[in-house]
Amino acid sequence: MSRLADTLHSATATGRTLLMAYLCAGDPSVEASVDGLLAAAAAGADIVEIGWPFSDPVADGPVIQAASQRALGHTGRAEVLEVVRQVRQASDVPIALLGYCNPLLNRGLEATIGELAAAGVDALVVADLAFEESEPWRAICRASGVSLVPFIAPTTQGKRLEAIARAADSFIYAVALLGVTGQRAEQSSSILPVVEGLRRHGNAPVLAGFGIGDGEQAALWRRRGLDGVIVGSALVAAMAEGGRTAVGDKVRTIRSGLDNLG
Amino acid sequence: MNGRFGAYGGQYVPETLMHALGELETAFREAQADPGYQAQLGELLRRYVGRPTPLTEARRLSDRFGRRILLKREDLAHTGAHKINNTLGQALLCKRMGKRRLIAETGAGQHGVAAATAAALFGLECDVFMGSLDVERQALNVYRMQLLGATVHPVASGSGTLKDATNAALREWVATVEDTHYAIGSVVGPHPFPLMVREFQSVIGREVLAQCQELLGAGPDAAIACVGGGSNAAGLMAPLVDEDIRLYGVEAAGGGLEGLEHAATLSRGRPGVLHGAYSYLLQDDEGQVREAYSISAGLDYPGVGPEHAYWRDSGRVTYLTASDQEALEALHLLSRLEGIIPALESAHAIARLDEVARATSPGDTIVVVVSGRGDKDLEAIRRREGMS
Repeated sequence: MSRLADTLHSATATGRTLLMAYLCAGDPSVEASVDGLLAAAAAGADIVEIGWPFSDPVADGPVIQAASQRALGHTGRAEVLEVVRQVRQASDVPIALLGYCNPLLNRGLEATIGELAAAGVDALVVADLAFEESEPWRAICRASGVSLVPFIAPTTQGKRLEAIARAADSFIYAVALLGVTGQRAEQSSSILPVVEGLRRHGNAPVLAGFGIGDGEQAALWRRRGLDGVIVGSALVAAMAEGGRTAVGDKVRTIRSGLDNLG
Repeated sequence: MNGRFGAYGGQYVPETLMHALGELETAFREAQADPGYQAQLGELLRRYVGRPTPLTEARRLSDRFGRRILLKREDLAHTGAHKINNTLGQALLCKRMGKRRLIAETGAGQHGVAAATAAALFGLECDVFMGSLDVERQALNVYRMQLLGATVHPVASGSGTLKDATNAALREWVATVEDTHYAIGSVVGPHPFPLMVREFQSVIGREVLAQCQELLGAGPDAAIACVGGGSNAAGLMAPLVDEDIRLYGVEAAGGGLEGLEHAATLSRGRPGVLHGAYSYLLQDDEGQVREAYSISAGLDYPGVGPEHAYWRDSGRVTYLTASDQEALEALHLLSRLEGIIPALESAHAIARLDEVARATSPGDTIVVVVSGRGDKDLEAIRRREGMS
């Protein structure tokens, strides 16, 4: 987790807008997903987010659903760990693991998070873990030195916002729209008042995800005052079209959108 | 933690839905305590649904099993199944929360029809998500929903059945949560749905107790219902759990419990998280959710209500299974002995009367819930049995 903390601190110190790049482990193969993730890191992603495929990804739109389906037949726990290990061996880039509750619980949460930490995971993002259910998970993560990343959404309100801000021990994942993952032409602003409310209770970096897929859109979120963006479906689509080269190209255009701002 | 039945239940959903779940819980609790709401729902159940549904003395079936068998006739409720008890309650809540649109998932189409019916009655927009395979298998129910003014969305992802339809409905809810209520069709999903749907369906068990009191001067000795998600069973059992009554749930053993062709979640599953709740789940070694199978489209769901998981572990309810073939035979049996063609779902409960009879004594009374009528299944059965 110190890799992640260093990255977050240095971005804050230098004013760099963070980019977290998502790909699904095993899509289309273990090797190809490792290559894609390393290409993303080399092209300017500050954090890579590795998806653990699940049969019922209710937070995901069609692009990531399809990636999960492609990966599922040959990507179980062992392969997910293998992707993490290979990325970690080749790079010091902070690694977030994106999963759904059930595969993580399947052989015992404590053992699984311990293995993920040993393989090189710095943070855990669980798409269907509501904050109200997260305390036992957070305790286990903390014991393994893994950050459990909380979410905010356009519907998050009141006292929950304060509790979420207080629980954050690395960054906060801001769901930037009402809906599932996948690039949108329109960039909703409905999360902005929630981010503003959150800032009153804490100063953890806030990264916006869902719907963001190109440099111009990423730049908009920087102008809106977010500390970073998360890009998933657009990279999964690039991976399907042109493998790691296309992933690297896509990350570079988003990076330059974030950096070259007047 | 919220909404637990022992270790089971909870709220395992994306953050976007948490506000709506809180709002729903508040609206539900206020409505439960509001005599006006209760009177309105009671009036609807009497004059629109036709409640109380009869408790029918099944004389020839009783002779057959050597026990007094009473049938709780949810097949006689408006729309032909118990599902309407729940959708009317939820549609009233939807109005109460100021939402204008109802969405629902459906397998066989019974819940979709009940949701579309309630939406029509209250002037709500209605969108129903249904697996593309089920859309083909249940064409008549698709047309019924359309007649009632609902839009049916075929879901092609996954295996095109109820699990995938539920995923699609959840995704739609995340995108439209501000003006839309998701009326889940069973005692599954995140809190407060398992509690709320159980309460709406508990009219079944309350009527059974009152009707048995009138007929027998006492409660029944045993009660039995089929379990897919488990809403008619939970509605029967919740008012009976504190009484001295043996309770049985019957899951679908499909083509047999040895293989993968079944929907016996409590009998063959392991605890896990699906569609917002921690409960028993049909899953592989990796924690990926398996496809369930049953001849009955209303039972082929790989999850089950968290309260059933709790009752299973505590031993309060005994969960049995019946295969496709046994359910078909039971459907024939009830049709010929009593002149009642049950839904294939309900036929699973009839099929285990043998075992429940063995566990009771001569002179004992057994209540069986006929959760729905069989009309929707006739085409599939006719095809399977090669008649024409």
